Amino acid sequence: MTSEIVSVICGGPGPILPGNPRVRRIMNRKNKVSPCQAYQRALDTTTAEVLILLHDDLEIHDGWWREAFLDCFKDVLSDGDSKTVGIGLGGALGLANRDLYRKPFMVGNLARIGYASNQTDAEVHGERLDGVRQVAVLEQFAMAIRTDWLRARGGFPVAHLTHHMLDACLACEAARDGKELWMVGASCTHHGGGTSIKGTYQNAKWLLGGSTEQDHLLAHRWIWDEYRDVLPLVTM
Amino acid sequence: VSKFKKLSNPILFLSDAPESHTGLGRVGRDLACLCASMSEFRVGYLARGGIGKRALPFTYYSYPESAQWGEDYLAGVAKDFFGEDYGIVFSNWDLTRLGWLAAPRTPELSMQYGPGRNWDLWVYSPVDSEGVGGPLGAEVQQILPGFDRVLAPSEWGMNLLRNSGRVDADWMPHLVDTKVFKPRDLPREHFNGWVLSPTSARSLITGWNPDDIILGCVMANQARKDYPVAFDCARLLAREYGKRFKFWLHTDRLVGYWNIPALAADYGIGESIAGNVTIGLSDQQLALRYSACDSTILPSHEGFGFPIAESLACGTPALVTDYAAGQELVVQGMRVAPVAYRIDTQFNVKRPVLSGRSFADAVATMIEYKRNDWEGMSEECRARVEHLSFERLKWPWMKWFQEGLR
Repeated sequence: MTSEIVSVICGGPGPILPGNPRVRRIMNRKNKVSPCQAYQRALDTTTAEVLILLHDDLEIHDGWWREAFLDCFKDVLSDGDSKTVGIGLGGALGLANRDLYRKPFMVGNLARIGYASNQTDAEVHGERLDGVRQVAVLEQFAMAIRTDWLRARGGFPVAHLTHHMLDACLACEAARDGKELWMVGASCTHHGGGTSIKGTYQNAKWLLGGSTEQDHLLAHRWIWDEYRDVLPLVTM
Repeated sequence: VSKFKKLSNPILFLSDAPESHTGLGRVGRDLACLCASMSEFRVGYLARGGIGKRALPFTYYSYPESAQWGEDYLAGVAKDFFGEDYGIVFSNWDLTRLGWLAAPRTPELSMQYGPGRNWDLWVYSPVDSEGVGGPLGAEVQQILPGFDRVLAPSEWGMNLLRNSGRVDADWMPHLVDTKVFKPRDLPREHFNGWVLSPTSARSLITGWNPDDIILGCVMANQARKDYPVAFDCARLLAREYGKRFKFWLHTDRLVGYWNIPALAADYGIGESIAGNVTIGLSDQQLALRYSACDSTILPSHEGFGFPIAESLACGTPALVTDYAAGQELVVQGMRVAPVAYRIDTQFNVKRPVLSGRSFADAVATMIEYKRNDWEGMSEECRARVEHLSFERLKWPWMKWFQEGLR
């Protein structure tokens, strides 16, 4: 199975990976395109079967992470009927709660439930997990996606999302298509926040609603509106 | 091992006639139609009253209203409709109407509806009152174990059921047709580009003047609806606004538990209400009138409160008793606190004692807000209930029905 690592370079130095594998960098220092548009460009230009999208402020410590990723795809592929379409370094067992459509729209009702990872500060975000498990939604800082599946689903939703909730969108598409997402608890550090507080991001022309606040709100709102047939998501 | 099959499980709705105008009938119809769209179910409907309609997508049985709650009919209908399959009886009636079914006490009823039955009993009950000490009264609590699944239309109702012993109770709000109940403005719909205004629907539809202050009230004529408070509220507002004030009242009959003409005379608001009492309007006609109101009131206590949701969906604030389920639909400023509580009926239900003055003060404040920003308030109101639309809420409802088959 072929794979390609791609990172969209905005405010961070680029991913720091053990063994220094080849990373294709899509330069976006001035934030001229949204991360979603950049991801779509990566999808449009890759020939690999698996596209591994890593944030530019991510550091992975365990050298076996990529092999584990591909093993997850291969294991289920062996019977010729793969259900796994995405792998990440962090993920949650649920996305959104049961009040999502019983009460008026609230961003908080779309929160992840049961998040786990092996990030350096894993306990800040949820629980620590160094194994492998099926999840309902991946964490966006590291996502490996089957390219044939994503293309068949129409690619990234560039007309509706810019940055927030891309992982949620992927989760909902997988659920709608009866596919699975898994996480691998490889040790990593996601520095986070390095890009989003910079002026080039705050003033980016692609922000939904023209501001970071609106961009956040409208992204959630679109997910709420679009995926009512599958949300809330739960993985047992 | 599930008692159910993957496809075509028979589910029999027991409720008011689906073509009736009652809230329960509408809920029963909507949910039965939803189940009829799901491959997991084969749908029947045992209707109290009614004669059926060709357009309804399910097998229709009915019995006369004089036969109470269908005790003499359900067993035969279930046998006919379920056949050899294990089925479900689903009712959205008040719990007090279903004691004979959930906890049969006579040998005859036990034989028909007792432990040997070949169906599950699901209830979606519009609980609207606490009991003496908080939980439901003892008599109602006794029948709760007889249901296989218990659902309320509000979070308030769910918590009440849980506090009354059904810790597995869940909740799901009613579906509201927001394609019909939406801000209506005839000129805007006829001439694209016109903005929503407080004036147009009034003059064209109702004969009301643009400057009129219009208070709406949609309530069935029954004991639980506090008509004297509604009329007292209208009296106080008529005193404040004079001839500009109009009181639109929509009900099911002029003389029922309450005598509406007599109330209008005794509260001295004949001029405000003259020509503005309606009966039997279609949903579209209701939506036009809701849209033209400055505010509506519902001095009652509700298991859900359709008139609240419909008013909000039409962009009109609804002043609601701060008790039971209705208050969940509105923001704090639209809740009117009871001045006391009393115990009522043979089931010892706790009812609020309301004040016309409290409602009138709240309405006057709301009218100011509404008049200051008619469009903004309309959007705020509508945002409170947009999640109740068929398109959105049908999905969690379908999941709830599917979960019951596991």
